[in-house]
Formats: sequence, C-alpha cells, structure tokens
Amino acid sequence: MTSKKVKSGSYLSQEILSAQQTAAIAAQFSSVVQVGEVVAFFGELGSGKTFFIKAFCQAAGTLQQATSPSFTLINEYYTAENLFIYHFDFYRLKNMAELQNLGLDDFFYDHNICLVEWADKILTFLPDRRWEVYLEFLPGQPDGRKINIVKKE
Amino acid sequence: MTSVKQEIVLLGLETSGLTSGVYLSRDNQMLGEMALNIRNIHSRGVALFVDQLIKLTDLSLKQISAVVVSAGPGSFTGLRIGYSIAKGLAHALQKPVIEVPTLDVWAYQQGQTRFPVFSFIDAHRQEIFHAFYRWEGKELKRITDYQITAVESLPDLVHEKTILVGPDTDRFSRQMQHLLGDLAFFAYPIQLQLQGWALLQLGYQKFITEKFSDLNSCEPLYLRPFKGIL
Repeated sequence: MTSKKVKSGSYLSQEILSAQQTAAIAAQFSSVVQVGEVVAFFGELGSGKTFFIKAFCQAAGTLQQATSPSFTLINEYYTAENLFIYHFDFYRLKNMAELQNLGLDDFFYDHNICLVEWADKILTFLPDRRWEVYLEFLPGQPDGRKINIVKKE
Repeated sequence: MTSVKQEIVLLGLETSGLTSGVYLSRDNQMLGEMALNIRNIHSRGVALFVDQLIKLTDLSLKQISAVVVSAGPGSFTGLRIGYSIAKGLAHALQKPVIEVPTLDVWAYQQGQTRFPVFSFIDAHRQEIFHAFYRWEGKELKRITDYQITAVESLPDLVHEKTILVGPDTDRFSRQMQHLLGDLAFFAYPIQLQLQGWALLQLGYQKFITEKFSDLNSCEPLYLRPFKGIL
C-alpha cells in the first residue's frame, strides 16, 4: 500500500487482451487502494472479478490465496503486516436477514480493505466513498476485457 | 442470630466499540478491570478477561449479583458478542442482566456539570447516534430519546453552550466546532475510552431499583433501522 491518496474520478480505463494483463492491473491497483477503503466490483458471471481479486490479494501479500466466497459470503485474508482484507461475494445472497446478520458497517468503516463482488446487490449499503471496478467482455476476445476503475467521493 | 449483608458484585462488559472491557465492582466500589483497545479482539478477549478477573480477585462466578452490559449503540458485531456473553453467563448463573445504554455511560463519566451534555457515537455515513443529558443535583437525566442524525444537522439540535462527549470526539471536534461555533464545548481532558466505573455505577443504580432486563428478549440498542432493498 502506498501513502499517496488518489483523487476522485476515473482512475483507469483500459482494454486488455490477456489474463496476465488483468493480473498486472490488479497488482498495480492494490498498491493504490488505502486501508479503510472499499472496492465494489461490477461485471457479469465469468468476467473475472474473482480472478482480479486473487491477483490483488497476491500483490498485497496476503498469507492466504483468495478464493470465491460465493457460499460463505465473506472470506478473510491478512498479510504478515496485519493488514486485513475482506472479500465479499453477494451473488447468492438470499434475503435481507442474511445481510442484516453480517453487520456490514463494521467491515466497511474499519481499518481494513473490503473487496465486494456483485456489489450491485447491496448498493444502498456501500459507503459513498468507494472504488468501483467494472469488468466487461470484449467481443471475439475470450480473455479480452475492458476494465474501468473509478473513485467515488 | 446475626444477619450477613449480601454483597452486590457486578460484572460489566463493554464491546460496543474498539474497547474490549471487563469490569468488576463490589458494593458500588471498583474492584478491578481488564481492557484492551485492539481491533477484532472482542471474541477472543472478553471471555478470557472474565475468567482472569474473577480468578485474580479471588471471587467465583457464583458470587456475581448481575451482569451489566454496555447496550450500544455501536458496533453490530461487537454488541452481539457482548450480549452473547452477558446472556450466556446470566443464564448459566441464573442471575439478571442489566442493560446500560452506552451513550448514558459517556455522559455520566464526564462528571457533573451545569451545562447540558450531548453524548454521541459515530454512526458512519456522516451520521451520529446521540442523546442530550442534564445533571439535576447528583442525578444525570436524559432529556431526549436516543436518536440518529446527520452531523450537518447539529445546529438544529444544539442551541446553548453544550459539552460534547463520546468516543469519536477527537475525530469530529473540528467539524462540530465549525458547525456550532462557541456552543460546542469539549471538556478537558477529552475522554476517548469508556470507563468501567461509570458503566458499573449506572448498573448499580439499576440493580438497587431492580431494573433488570428480560433475558430472552433483551437485545442491543442498534438504533439504525435496517432499510436495504434487495
């Protein structure tokens, strides 16, 4: 993590053609996200959200490899420096009670980093100040993606 | 035949914020406390502290007269841990639970003053949980409901010189001073940690007036309505 804070607005908009390029962007992005920030991920099934997060966490130095928390809703990873990263996946979110029992604010407003897949399912619960990462397929390019990263204040 | 006066031993638990605190008092005198201000420690710390504190004070859990829990508002998960332990102990020991709203503790620990006291806790999203208090003699009276309000609306609430207290005073002091001008008053030294003696003294007042909570239905004072749409 760097100590330099990025201003709000578009941070990155890029078309890439390989998974390696996605991983490189994720790794670079992990050095920009600050402790206490939330990153919301948007993209269809298979667009590479979990792949992006795996590369993000690896670059951040988590002691655990990121895996999809589709069934557990939250995974917790941490680094040797005691940085905690919480990885959410709301694809299988069934009802409000499930969400209520998570105590999301405790995660979103604490000294950690939160990475949220299927963020569109919980938009009203996200902090206004957040990163948004959009992953879109590129027609005719199996590993091609358009990646947009925006910072909102 | 001599009658033996029953001691009132209170066990206090604080998990509403950063602090994991366990406190013991006997007949309204502080007996001991253990607390840590470390993140993500409630689930590991509180039960351990209860055990240690009971041992170090040569008491047994059976001697506890009631469990006093800091009732929130505050951290969702923290409060659930505090309530789980409080309820578990109370159920096993067949002793009552006493809930003390955390905002009351913050107002009380600041001490007697002729000014109104505004106790607040960060509710995130630029909102605060809060309540107003006034001292009447030696008694602290809450004069408003527990509420949640946007910080920007503070000028609508505060119309006279008021002491602002709470765990997030440091973080909000500049913004509040800007919004309220001379009406905002931060008593020195600014306290940023909930005091166990204050929790237990308020718990003691409830104990002697038998204001016990129903063990099955009592729950944290969350205050924020759950308003999401799926």
